Order: sequence, then C-alpha cells, then structure tokens
Amino acid sequence: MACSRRNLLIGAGAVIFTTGVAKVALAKKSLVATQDVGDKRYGMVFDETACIGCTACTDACRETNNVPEGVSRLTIERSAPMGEYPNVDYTFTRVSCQHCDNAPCVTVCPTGASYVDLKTGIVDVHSDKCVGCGYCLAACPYQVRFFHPETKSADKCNFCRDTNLKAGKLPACVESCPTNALTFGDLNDPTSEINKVIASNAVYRSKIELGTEPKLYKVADTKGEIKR
Amino acid sequence: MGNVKLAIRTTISFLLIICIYGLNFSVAAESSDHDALTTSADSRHQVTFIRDSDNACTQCHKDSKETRQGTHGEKATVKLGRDLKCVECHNTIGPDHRENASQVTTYSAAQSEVGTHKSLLDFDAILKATGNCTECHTSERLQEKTWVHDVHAKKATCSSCHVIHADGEKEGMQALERKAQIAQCVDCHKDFNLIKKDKGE
Ligand code: SF4
Ligand code: SF4
Ligand code: SF4
Repeated sequence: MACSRRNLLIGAGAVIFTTGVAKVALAKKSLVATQDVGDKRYGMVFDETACIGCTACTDACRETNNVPEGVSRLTIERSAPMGEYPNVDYTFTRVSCQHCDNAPCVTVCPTGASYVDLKTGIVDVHSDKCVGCGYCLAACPYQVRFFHPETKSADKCNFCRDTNLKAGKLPACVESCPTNALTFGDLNDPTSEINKVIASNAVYRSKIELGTEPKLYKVADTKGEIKR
Repeated sequence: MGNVKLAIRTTISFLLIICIYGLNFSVAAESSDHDALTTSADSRHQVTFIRDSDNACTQCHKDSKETRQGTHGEKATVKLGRDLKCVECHNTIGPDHRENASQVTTYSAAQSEVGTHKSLLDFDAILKATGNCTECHTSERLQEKTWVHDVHAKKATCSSCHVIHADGEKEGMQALERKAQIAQCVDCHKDFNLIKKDKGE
C-alpha cells in the first residue's frame, strides 16, 4: 500500500510529539536537589558527623546579624550522654530555618511580610511589613521563628542575606565552623560543592512528609537514635 | 653533848614546821587551780607534727605553692580537710630528681589526634596521665561541670585546657569568658581539619 499523504502527516506528528516529550523529560535535571525555579536556590548541609557542638556558629550568627540574647536564629541541640566513662558520646543537631520551598510561614502571612526571594530561594521577612500577629511563628513546623525584641518583627535565619551574603561572604555560621560541618551553596548548580556533599553522603531532611520541601540537608549521625 | 642533841632536835622540829607549812601552802594552791593544772598537764604530752613536707620543694620551686593557690588552694583545703601537698600530684619523686627530673610525675598538654602544637598520646596513655586528677575530680563530677569533659576523657590531658599552677584564676579555662572558651575549641579542632585537608583527606 502506498503511503498516503494523510498517513505521513500522522506519522510525522507522532514523531514530533514523542521527541518533544523526550526532550522535556531530558531537560528535567536528575539531581534531587535541583529545581527549575528562580536563578539560584540556596541551601545548606549540616554534617552531624563532623559537628563537635562548640557553638562557635551560634555566637557568630548573633554578632553578625545583631541577634540579642534570649532569642536565636540558630541553636545547636545536644543529645543526652550516651555510654559510660571514658567513652561517653553525644550527638548534635542544628535548629534553624530550613528555607522551605513550600513555606507554611509565607502562606499564612496576612501582610506579605514573610516571603520567598525568588532570585535566591531564601525565605525572608520584610520587618517593616510585619504586624506581629504571630501566625508564622505558629505555622512553622520547625519552631525556628521568634519576635526580635528591637524591631518587634518576626525574625529567623535568612542565610545572612543582608549581612555576609550581601558583602560577598559565606554565611557567618559557615565561616566560623572549625570542623567544616556546614556547607552552603546553590542547589540549582549541579557542580556546586553543596551538590557534591549531598550526592556523596547519606543526607536527610526534617519532616519532609509535611510537604514543606526544606532546603536544609543533614548528614545523618549513625550514633544514637534515628533522626528524621 | 647535851647541847648537840638539843641543837639536832630544834633543827628537826624547825624543818618539820617548815614542811607542814609548805604542804599547807601547796594543797591550797592545788585546790584552787586544779582544773588549769590538769589541762596543761595533758596537753604537754600531745605532740603535733609540724614539719612541712613541702618545705624541701619550695626551697627551689619558690612560687609554686602560691601559683597553685588559684586552683588547688583554699577550696581544696576545705574539701580535703587539710592542705594538699606537692607530692600528692607530683608523686613518684626520687631523691635525685634534681639530676634530670625523670622520675617525677609532671603534667603537660597532650592529645590523641595529630595537631600542630600539642604532643600526641594514645588513649591509654592519656587515661593513665589523667588518673591522678580523676581520683578526686571523678568522672561524675566532671560530667556535672560540663559535657566537654566527657568527650575529651581519653582524647586530651587535663593540662591541654587547664592551667594548674595558675596565677590566681586569671589563666586556664575557668577564668575565660564564654567566647574565649569557644575559641579554645576552635583552636584545636580547626587545626585538625587543616592538617587533614593538607593530607588530602
Ligand atoms: S523552616 Fe519555618 S520559618 Fe523557615 S521557611 Fe520553613 S516554615 Fe518558614
Ligand atoms: S546563615 Fe546566617 S542567619 Fe542563618 S544561622 Fe547562619 S549565621 Fe545565622
Ligand atoms: S561551629 Fe560547627 S562544629 Fe561548632 S557547633 Fe557549629 S556546626 Fe557544630
């Protein structure tokens, strides 16, 4: 049977359709950490196996970002002692904003004070727009927001966006860590240091079942209880 | 002859009179001061050992006793109920330690991980070195003070962080502000990381 013009056109359409789909599928980056929103998507890795609990990071954050005593953007939580002398051990974990891609704190904010900066993926607060209703403090599943005693605005880690990042430096906590337990970088860049660390370690993120899509990754410590 | 007998008799009776008078006197004295006399008589037989065993040490190590006061001074005396002696920590001292001090126990900074400044010891050697300290500063007490003691139990000697013969409490960990204390953690742990990085680990 001769190939009719009609059949040829249908066949050509099918070819275009399938290659088009394949192209879209290929364009989707395969690394788990990347996503096609914004230019950059800043994230952080906290290596529980490297942290010694010195809290140099919490002090550095306080100084750099003018966080007064009594509140904190970053705390290091220490476990109960495990084992007997002289083999007593502890685990440490980082408590700070997870810079959720799907941030509940932003969704509930009635004034638009809480927002995601689309250029960087950083979740931040316009302190002049904040009316102090406290919705975001209640909505954050990670319990990392607080009211700043001076500005009276909701506050939390913003990856040092207006301090160290602005000055072209790494976040204060990352800079101060003596054990390189912290890695900061662009999750959208497949060649970045942070993507290498994520790819070569057993990482987890907290409470992912809530659909918050947090950008704080943790290298799991094998000691002690299983963390999530 | 009769004269001689008379003379003897008068002398004896005279002596007797004196004796009786004297006895009267001493009985009177004893009865009035009885308590005072017995106590003084008891204490006269109590011998207290007043020789200072540290005396020989301080002939050469002149300041060492004062510099120790900041850490093992009054508080230690109260806890122990006596003064702490040099040889209780610097034990195994020999008579000829002046030659090269090889026998005396001394305390110095050492750690189990390779660092730039401190010497290296294995876990067992560190535990042995700190054994004298942990006799009084028990692991429970140390843990109560801070968790940091726990994680360094076999990884660093006490002198790595503490100055025992401190100038008052101006030196060593306890004298430092929180920030300066953290700087001490950073000092060593950053060093470890740089060394590892140099090795390409
Ligand atoms: S961790 Fe909390 S404050 Fe940070 S983005 Fe997520 S919901 Fe908001
Ligand atoms: S990134 Fe900056 S603001 Fe966030 S915890 Fe670190 S130092 Fe604090
Ligand atoms: S500075 Fe680094 S090692 Fe120290 S507590 Fe913070 S994350 Fe842990």
